[in-house]
Parts: sequence; structure tokens; C-alpha cells
Amino acid sequence: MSAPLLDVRGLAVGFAGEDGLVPAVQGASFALGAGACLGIVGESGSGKSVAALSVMGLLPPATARITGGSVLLDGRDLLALTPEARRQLRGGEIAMIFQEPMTSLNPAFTIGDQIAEAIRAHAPMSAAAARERAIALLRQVRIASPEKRYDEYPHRLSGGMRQRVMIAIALAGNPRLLIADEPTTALDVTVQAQIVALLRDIQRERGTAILLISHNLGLIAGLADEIAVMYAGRVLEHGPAARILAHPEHPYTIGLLGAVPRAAPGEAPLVGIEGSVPDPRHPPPGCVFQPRCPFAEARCAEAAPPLRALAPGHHAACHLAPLEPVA
Amino acid sequence: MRFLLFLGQRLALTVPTLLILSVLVFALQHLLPGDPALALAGEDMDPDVVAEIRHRYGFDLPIWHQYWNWLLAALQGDLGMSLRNSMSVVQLLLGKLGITLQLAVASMVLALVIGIPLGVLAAARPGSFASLAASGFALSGISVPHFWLGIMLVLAFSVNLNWFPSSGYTPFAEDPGRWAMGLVLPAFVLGTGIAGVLMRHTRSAMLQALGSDYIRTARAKGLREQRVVLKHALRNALVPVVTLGAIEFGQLLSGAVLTEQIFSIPGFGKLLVDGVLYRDYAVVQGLVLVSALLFIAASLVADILYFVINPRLRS
Ligand SMILES: Nc1ncnc2c1ncn2[C@@H]1O[C@H](COP(=O)(O)OP(=O)(O)O)[C@@H](O)[C@H]1O
Ligand code: SF4
Ligand SMILES: [Mg+2]
Repeated sequence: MSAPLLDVRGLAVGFAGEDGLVPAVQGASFALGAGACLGIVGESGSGKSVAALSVMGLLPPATARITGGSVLLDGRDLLALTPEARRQLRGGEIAMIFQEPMTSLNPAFTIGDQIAEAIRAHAPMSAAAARERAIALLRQVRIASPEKRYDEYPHRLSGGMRQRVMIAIALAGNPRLLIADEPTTALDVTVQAQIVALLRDIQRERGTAILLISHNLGLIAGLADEIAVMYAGRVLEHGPAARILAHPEHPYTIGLLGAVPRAAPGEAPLVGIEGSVPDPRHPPPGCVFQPRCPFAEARCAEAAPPLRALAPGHHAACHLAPLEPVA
Repeated sequence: MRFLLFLGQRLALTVPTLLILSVLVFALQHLLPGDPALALAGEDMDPDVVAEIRHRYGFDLPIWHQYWNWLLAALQGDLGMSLRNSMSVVQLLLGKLGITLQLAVASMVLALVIGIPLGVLAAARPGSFASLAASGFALSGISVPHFWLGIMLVLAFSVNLNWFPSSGYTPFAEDPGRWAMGLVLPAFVLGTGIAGVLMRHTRSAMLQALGSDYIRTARAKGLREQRVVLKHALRNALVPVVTLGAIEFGQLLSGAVLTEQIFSIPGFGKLLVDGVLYRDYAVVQGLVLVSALLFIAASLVADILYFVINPRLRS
């Protein structure tokens, strides 16, 4: 990958807690080329949303502190920009959609108004011209009879439709990077597939780079060129998607792959990972995954393993990597 | 269509309220101490005269019959005669309604103009000096007793500085300047109290709105913070605040007894005090009835406003 569109290096973010800063992201690095798709996967609470909001510049200012690292867009460090410069990037070069389609639209305004507003925020134009463009965007996200839908309020739309409207809003400023944070988690299975297909088309047709965030590796597998696996605020493994899916090196990734629901929807995953994510205020010594790792050895509790290159572009942070092939 | 249905339902709901109200107001006459026939007879305690009065006014009829007669008369706009001056109660009330209405509108405008911007400011800049000042203002607006504030204002601005008339009401037609000046202090006393209530509700509704997902979306669009706050958050925060404002206005319409008393404004409050003082039952009864009707009307308006500004109900 030549000079990436987005290059996040050693990002560290904490939240002000009762006794000091509680780390949420600790030295996470990932990169995404223009027009590509990077999937960030990890259990709930691993710091994916916080990392995404750091890129957007939407962390809650009262409590969140970025304590280290850089967020480079075309080589320019966004963390060094003024708030005003960051505002202009939001919804312009970088757009984002969220996990909660039901509550992410303003109930008091029509969906057309909310899309047109996003268009005019970055390209001043007449209300009539913005309306035309908004209707075109509604058509692009495959909403039927967009002229009629334009004047409807969000409560009349299903979750899937609202997420499409959110995507239309995100596309309003012709972003080069679209961050999709758990875009299908709140939706029905059939609707999930439609939204994923829509995102894929957007990536292909418009050349929009997508940062796709999910706790579901199966979803990421369908879209991502590259995968980064996050756990307890760190990236434990990253590399080309095909490689990670076929030859996962980190025990946590292996566990996630086991947790991919392969059976019919609703049935339990084949294998799960025992235990739960560590309390960020009291991280375990050594490897962060060690308390839950089925392969853990004595040295795992002594020193944290660094990210090491195992194959071109494939890195994992495990003392045991590369693992022996089992079969 | 949706709206007419809503309005119909809402109006139907007021019918039982009105019936209960009419019974209560009618009962007032009989719950108040003293025999109305004796009061009407005045100095003359001749039993024959009292009996004659009792018969003439229907006090000797069964109670439900009296109620029916009273209700029929009330529905035709006849609330009886004042005992003190020989005016009909309706005439008396209509004469004072305008004054109370002017004071209520002036107070409400002041309350809205102060309360809502302060509430928005306090929510948008938590912890700032402006926010603390706004909270302090709201607290004093709510907790300072009207009579104390009124007396202090009169002492400071009327007696010492002589900027405003200390009391009395000048009709607009007589002297518009004096009319306006006369309303300033009482409207300030009433308005600041309501402004405090509105400010607190605006602030909490704004804080709730600002924490919601759609605000995150608005920020993700790259909108200016001013637009995020004043369009996206305020529009939603106003829904409960407008309802509250209409209710507060309804309360203002029933007359501000203390404030009208302090500033000698001859509105409903003054009428009520005099009515009670002189045992002018019909006037008190009429006042209670009309005040309650105005309050019911205000809450009806509040509901209609809530419906109109809430798209989820509208469509
Ligand atoms: N607004 C916040 N205030 C305090 N802590 C937060 C906040 N948002 C996230 N965190 C913490 O940061 C960590 C990472 O959260 P998040 O990025 O939301 O995880 P993910 O998106 O991977 O599920 C969690 O421990 C969470 O409790
Ligand atoms: S370093 Fe040890 S504990 Fe950590 S993942 Fe590898 S084997 Fe498991
Ligand atoms: Mg998340």
C-alpha cells in the first residue's frame, strides 16, 4: 500500500474516571488505502468506536483525552488541526454512520431536510438544487419513490430505511472515507445483507474508502480487503483479509473465527471465547489476552508480546506466533 | 384530518372536566360560611323578608334543582349579580379580564425572552460562567417570594429612582406611555418567576437533546455548533417547554393575587380579594369559574401545540 489515505499510528485515548484517566484505546495503529475497505473487528468494549470517533473528531470533549499517537489523512495530522478545520472535514472528506439507525435521525425534521442540510453544509447551493441532489442520493441508496420519501419524517421509516438515509447523509459531502460503525448490528438479518451490499456498491462505484467496524467477523469478511483485530484497546493482529481468515495467527482471532455464526441465524456459534474483556483499569500483566487464552504459557504473564511481521503485511502480537498448522 | 380527530377527542375529554368544575363551583356557594339569603337581606333581618328572598332566588328548591337553574343561567352567560355594586358578575369580570390578560401577556413574553435563551446557554456551555449565572438567576427567580421582590422593586425603582409608577393601572387609551411603564414592574415580578421555571426545563430538555444520537449525526455532518444547538437540539427541547409555557400562562390568567395587590392593579386578583373580603359570593364564584375555564383552555392550547410541533403525532 503506497501512502495510505488514512494512517492511524499509536493512537491512545482515555476517559476521565473517578480516579484518573481510564484507557480505552492504547497504541492502536491501522491504515487504509484510498478506495479500499479496512475491517476492524473485536468484541464489544475493545475500543473500536472510540478509535473511529477519534478519526471523526467526535469524542465527547468533556471526558475524552487523546493522550498519544496521530491520525493522518493524506499525511496530514488531523489531531493538530483547529476545531474549525476538523469540522469542515466532517461530513466532507470523512463521513460516518452509526450503530443506532432508529435514533440517529432527528425526529423533528423530514429526512429530505436532513440530507439537504448535509449537502449545503459543504457545497453552498439553492434549496431547490439541494433538494434535487438529496432525491438523487435517496435513489442511490435505493429508497423507492424518493420524491415522496423526501418529505417524510423518520418515524415513518423502518430501521433499514433509516440506515439508508444515514448513508445518504454520509454521502452528501462526497467523502473519500466512510466510517461505518456497526452499521447492521441493530437490523434484521435480511436487511443486514442489503446494507452490506449497498456499502459494497458505494465502495466500488464511488471509490469511497470504507472503515467497517463490527464485532462480527463474518460481516467484515464479506467486505474488507484488510482486517485489524482489536482487543482491550489494542490491535492484536492485522493483515490482508484473505490471509487473516485463512491463517489467523493470534489466538484471539482464532477464537473470533470460531465465534462466527456459521450455522443458521439464531443458533449458537460453534466455538466461543471463554470469559470477558479485562477491566481497563486493571489490565492483566503481560499479554492482555492471557487470562482467556487457551494457549497461554508462563511467559505470557511476564511480558507483553509485540506486534511481529509473520508474512508480508501480516502482523500478530503473540509469543507463540507463527502457530504450527494443526492439520 | 388527523388533527381534527385529535381535536375532537381532546374536546370530548374536557366535557367531564367542565361538568365536575360546574358542580364544584356551584357547591362553593353552599360550602362558604353564611346564609346567602341572610347576606342578601342585608341589615333587614325580618324573617318574612328572608323567606321571600329565599323563595325569589330559589334557595328553597331542592339542591339539584338549584344546580340545574344555576347551570342553565351560567350557560346563557348569567352568573348573577354582584352584591357590592349593582353590576352583573359577567360584566364585572369582562371589565377586569383585559387588565389581567395584559399583565399575563407581558409577564409571559418577559419569561420566554429570558427563560429560554438562558436555558439554552446553560445547557450548551455547561460549567461556564454564563451557565452558572443562569442557574443562579433561575434559582432566585423561583425562590424569591413575589411580595418581597415586588416591594423591593417598588422601593428601588419607583420610590427612590422614580422611574416607574409605584402602583395603579393606566388604561392604554388614556396614556400609552404610562400604561407601558405601569406594567413593567409587575410583569417583571411575575415574569422572572416563570422565567426561572422555563429556564430549568429548557436546560434539562436541552441537555437531554444534546446527548442524543441525532446530535452526533448533526455534528458528523460538519454543521456549525450554533446550528447543532439552535436547530437540532432546541427544536426537540422546545416540545415539553412550550407545553409548560402554555400551562404557566393559564395560571397567570387566573390572576396574580399578591402581585396585583402590591401594585394595586385592578385585575382578577384584586377582584378575588375584594370578593372574599366583602362576601360577594357571586363574584367569587364567577371568578373561580372563569379562571378555571381559562386554565382548561390554556391546557387545551398546550395539547394542541404539543400535537402541532410533534411530527410523530401529526402524521
Ligand atoms: N463516553 C465514554 N465515557 C467513558 N468511557 C467510555 C466512553 N465511551 C467508551 N468508553 C469506554 O471505552 C472503551 C471502549 O469502548 P468502545 O470504543 O465503545 O468499544 P467498542 O466500540 O469496541 O464496543 C470501553 O471500556 C468503554 O467503557
Ligand atoms: S501471548 Fe500467550 S496469552 Fe497472549 S495470545 Fe499469545 S499465547 Fe495467548
Ligand atoms: Mg462500538
